Amino acid sequence: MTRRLAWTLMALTARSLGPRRSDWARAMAAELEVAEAQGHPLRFALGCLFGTWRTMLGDAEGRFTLVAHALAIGVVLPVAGMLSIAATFGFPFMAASDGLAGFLFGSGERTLLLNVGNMIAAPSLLFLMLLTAGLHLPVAWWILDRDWDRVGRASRFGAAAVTTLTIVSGCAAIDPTTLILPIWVLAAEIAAIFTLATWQSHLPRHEQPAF
Amino acid sequence: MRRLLERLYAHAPAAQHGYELMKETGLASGTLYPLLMRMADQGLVEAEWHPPAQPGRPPRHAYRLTPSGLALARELAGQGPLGDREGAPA
Repeated sequence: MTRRLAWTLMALTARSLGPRRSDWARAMAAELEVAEAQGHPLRFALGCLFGTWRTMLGDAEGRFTLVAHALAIGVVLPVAGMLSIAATFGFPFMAASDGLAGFLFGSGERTLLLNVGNMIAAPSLLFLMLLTAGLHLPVAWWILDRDWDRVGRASRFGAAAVTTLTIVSGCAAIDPTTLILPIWVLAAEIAAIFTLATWQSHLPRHEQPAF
Repeated sequence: MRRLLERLYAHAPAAQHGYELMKETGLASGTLYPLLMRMADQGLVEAEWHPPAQPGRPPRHAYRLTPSGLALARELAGQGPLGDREGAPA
């Protein structure tokens, strides 16, 4: 378990160092084998990771990589999780007595907002919610890969899915204001991604790190 | 950086592996590698790949001072103690 964790941390270190520092990543990985034989691989791997992150704060490219990871892991993936959980608890065609907590933690009671006449909309609403959530997983990867074309296409697709969700909700006589929070979150997320892409276009090429 | 320069200088012109440098200097990996990277960027240290001692092991990076690094080490040695310099290059 310790060994696997140490190698996972080392893989994260290599990822953080990027292609420009790939030799250093290989050098650290080779020394991890020695540290493993000496019985403290985790301490060595943790040191490499934190040392790398500290180093990255010193140059623009490193700061960009750290922020991209923070956005992908700290925002995009949690949003995917929250949308999936909310969809599982019936958002937006159920009402939760506990509001947002009801959809995220399943607390309180939920009441079906659809009736026999518009019940047919439920699978479509669930599908759109899960699609929007599922789309976040490749988006997180593409952000780390700096594949802004794919991120842009996925964002447009996500925006279209949410618009459709709003229209279908309206057709099913569901109060469209229930969708304000997820729409706001998705809009903020797209704005953050756009800011990141703009930042990358201004990064100097092959900047020498300033420690 | 002074401690690292000291050890590399003491071993010069031989190259040292990262793990051995950690043990000799008492620096943690999180301090040693950023220092080595910075010193390499500044042209004070050069790295070379050493073939593995045992089959199946990966090649290891080894570090030695460049002429600029040696000059800096000598300069610092003139300002105060720079460790045991017995055997260090003149």
